[in-house]
Amino acid sequence: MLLVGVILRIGLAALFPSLPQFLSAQVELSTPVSSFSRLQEGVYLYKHLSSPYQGNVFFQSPLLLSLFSVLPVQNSFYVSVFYALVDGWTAYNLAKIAKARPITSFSPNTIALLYLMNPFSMLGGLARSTLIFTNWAIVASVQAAIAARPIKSVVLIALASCLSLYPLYLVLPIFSLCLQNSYRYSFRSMVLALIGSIGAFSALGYLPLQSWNFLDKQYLTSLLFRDLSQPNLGVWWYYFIEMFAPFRPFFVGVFQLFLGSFPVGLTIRFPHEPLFVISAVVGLLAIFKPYPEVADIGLFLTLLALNKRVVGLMRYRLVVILGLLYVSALAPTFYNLWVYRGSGNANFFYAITLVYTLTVALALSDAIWAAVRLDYDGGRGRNLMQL
Amino acid sequence: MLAWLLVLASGILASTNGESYHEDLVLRPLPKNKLLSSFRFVAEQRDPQLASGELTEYTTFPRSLGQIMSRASTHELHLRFSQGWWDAESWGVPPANGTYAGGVGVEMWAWVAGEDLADAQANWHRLAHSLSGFFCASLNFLDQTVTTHLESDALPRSGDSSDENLYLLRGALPAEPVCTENLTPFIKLLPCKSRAGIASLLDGHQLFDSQWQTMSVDVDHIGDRLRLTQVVSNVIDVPHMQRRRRDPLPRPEPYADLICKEREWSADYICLPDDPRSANWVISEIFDKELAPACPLAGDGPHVFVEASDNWTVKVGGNVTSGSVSFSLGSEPVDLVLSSEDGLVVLENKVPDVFVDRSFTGYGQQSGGLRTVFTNPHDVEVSLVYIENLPWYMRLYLHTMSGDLDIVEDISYTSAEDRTRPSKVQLHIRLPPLSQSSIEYKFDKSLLYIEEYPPDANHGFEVPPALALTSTGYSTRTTSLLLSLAVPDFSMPYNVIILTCTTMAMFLGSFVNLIVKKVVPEPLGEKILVESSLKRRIQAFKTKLIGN
Repeated sequence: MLLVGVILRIGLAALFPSLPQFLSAQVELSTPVSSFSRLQEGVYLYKHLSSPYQGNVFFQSPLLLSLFSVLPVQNSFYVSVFYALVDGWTAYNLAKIAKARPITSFSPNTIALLYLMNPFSMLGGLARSTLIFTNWAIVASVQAAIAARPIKSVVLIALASCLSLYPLYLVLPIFSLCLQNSYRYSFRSMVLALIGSIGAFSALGYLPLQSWNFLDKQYLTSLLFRDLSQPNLGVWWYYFIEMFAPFRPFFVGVFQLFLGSFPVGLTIRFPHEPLFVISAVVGLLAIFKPYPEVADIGLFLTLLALNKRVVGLMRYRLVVILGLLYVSALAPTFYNLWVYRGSGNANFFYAITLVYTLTVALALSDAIWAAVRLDYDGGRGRNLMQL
Repeated sequence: MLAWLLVLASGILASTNGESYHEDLVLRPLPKNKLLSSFRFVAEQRDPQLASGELTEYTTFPRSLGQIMSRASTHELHLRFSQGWWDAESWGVPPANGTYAGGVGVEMWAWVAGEDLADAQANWHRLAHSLSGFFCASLNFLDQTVTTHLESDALPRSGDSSDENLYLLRGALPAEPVCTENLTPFIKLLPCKSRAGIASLLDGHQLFDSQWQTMSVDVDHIGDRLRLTQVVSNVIDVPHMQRRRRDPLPRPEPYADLICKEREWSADYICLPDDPRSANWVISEIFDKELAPACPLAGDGPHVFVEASDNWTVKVGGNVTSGSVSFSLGSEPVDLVLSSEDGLVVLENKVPDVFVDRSFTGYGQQSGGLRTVFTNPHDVEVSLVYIENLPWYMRLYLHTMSGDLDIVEDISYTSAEDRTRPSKVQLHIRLPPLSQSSIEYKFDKSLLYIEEYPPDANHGFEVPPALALTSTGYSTRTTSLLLSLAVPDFSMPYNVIILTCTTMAMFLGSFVNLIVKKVVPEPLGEKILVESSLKRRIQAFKTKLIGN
């Protein structure tokens, strides 16, 4: 199963050599903080000219910079193979998680298939979004937590946070998951491990350029939405284009608070279902972080499938699937009408991003409702009423 | 009498200030009935700011400009106002090897003193703002987002470079229209204004109705001396000018005047008004004025140079000569007539060292490419420096650079920062003899905040011309480019705020609703409902308060 998914990815990239290039230019598939061509530019600047953190192009982790300055970035085929292998590894980890939770999730094969054949994850990987590495780290962290290896799990979630900041919101549920599966380490030692590994990864990031510039460029760009160069699927871009200049910093704060308020609430409400909390937070990030993209939604759907009973109790599955199909068809179309044909305007694409937000928000609240119900009676009762 | 007094006065001042003033005009017929006129005014004197204790004043050098420069700690200033396009392929090298020609719009570069770069930029800011008022141009828009800091020796300097703390800053405003209001302050800098000497021919109506025109102001220091060089050059389409003089309304040529023949670009017989062959160009008809008497300060040397081939007859007052001629202006106004049996035959033009063409590639408003074609028409190798400043909303991908990369010897690159500085690409290029090479790189077009779009956002954004300097001293600029960016809907701010906030609020509402919810069986639910009703609560509160 894994092999098929990996080979399919490599095969597609090999058969259509211009496909990765084409896909990486799609705004739904790669964002300024995850775009592969920006990474290439960063590597080029790092190797030949100056610090890539001096300009307005490269906002990614110095860890990726070091990694790709060793890998042959110029050779498109090797890069495709590398990305396919990382995706395969992620699917393998997902299958292991499923195997460790035989009743509560779908079979390992289904989960791996869902990740590898899911068009959202596949497009993200083919477009060479560097979010693939963050997703890998998140999944590997969850897997380690379930396999009762808390320190490995914490180190991996620290890595994911260093790669793209927002996985920090997963730290609480990951802790909770670790504590659920192992009593070897206390909460305090895990916090120490987290701080230590974030420090270590930052120090590693300091090494290639001997400068702390990346902290400002990488994290503040993600945090303050400083690069407005292209639209994406989220709610931020059009809002801040149209927002009146004096209110911009205020609303950046409001949006960040909005995003940050959910993970804590979820962790408190579902203390015994950390894996569900992790899926829900990934879903939240897929709509409300500044630079969301389809690789996020791919991971969200797969993680949700690890909570089989929640999925079973969801009422609007069909609506959500149809909504996602609708968005998949119309987002590229409307973007094309606006930017290439000139027969549409920005509102077309904006409307589709709203539909996307509403669809994923519906899936999320539906899943939370299902989890609330599950919390009560395991989904057996029929006569439930709302207070 | 006045003239005599002026001469006397200048003689007296010359002893203390070492001043001099010189002006000359070059007239040169170009192919296809074009006339190139190039006015040059050079004023020189000791720098009053450097002299201490002695009686020093601004004499030939204008005080207004001198004060602006000294207040902005500017050591050397170069300012260009240009419109139109110099057709190097048929007109050859522009006057003075292109030194005084600018790119389309306004261009300024200066060596500014400062303790550090920020200090120099503050001085540059002061300079641009002062000159903006002075020249009635939008030079105040030369802020840090369009200004690049170049290495101090990147551009040729006429003065000495003894001072260490000088920063070379350069900026361009390609969308700036150049017009009469810029010419008036330019003329005011001249000691005789436009009342005497060759400057009497400078007239806005004539100057700006040309195919290409450029005005330059250059101030530099040579030792302790200040030198101001002002140059105005333009290329006039003479038949067009004469036709407009005959009849202000543009009417079609009568059919009898059309020439029907097979054209080199078409096999069919095509009838077009052909370029007139015989030329009779009267300066007072082309420039609306005769040449006024010489400016008394302008020295004795010849003031007017006519550069023409031997088939041209030049009539100055009563003298008739053929071919190139030079003469001084006297105390009487004089008219000049250039005539030829075959006006299409002119002096052979010097072929430029290099041709540089730049254009956009790609389509759509998301990304594009920049392709620059370098042509070396000579059979010797040419080395040149190519400097390109691109606005920050073009995100350059230097790793996509492709084409004939073997001609690039060295790259110096400063990437852009959003809303802070433009990017700078400086290529050192060596072109093989008789070759054509091209270089291309890709870029992404950025979205902007709503207030950053100009009122006519769909018109596009002007990208400043790139600059090419050869080792032989020839300088040329590419044309400016028009970049079209994706635009948002400008009528939407409130709608977007409302719609986005509604979506987020809806999610927040249902989320909070679910998260604080507890699911209970029906009987228990009803019990809680009853217990938690308002009536019961008030009852309970009363009970608590009064006690039963």
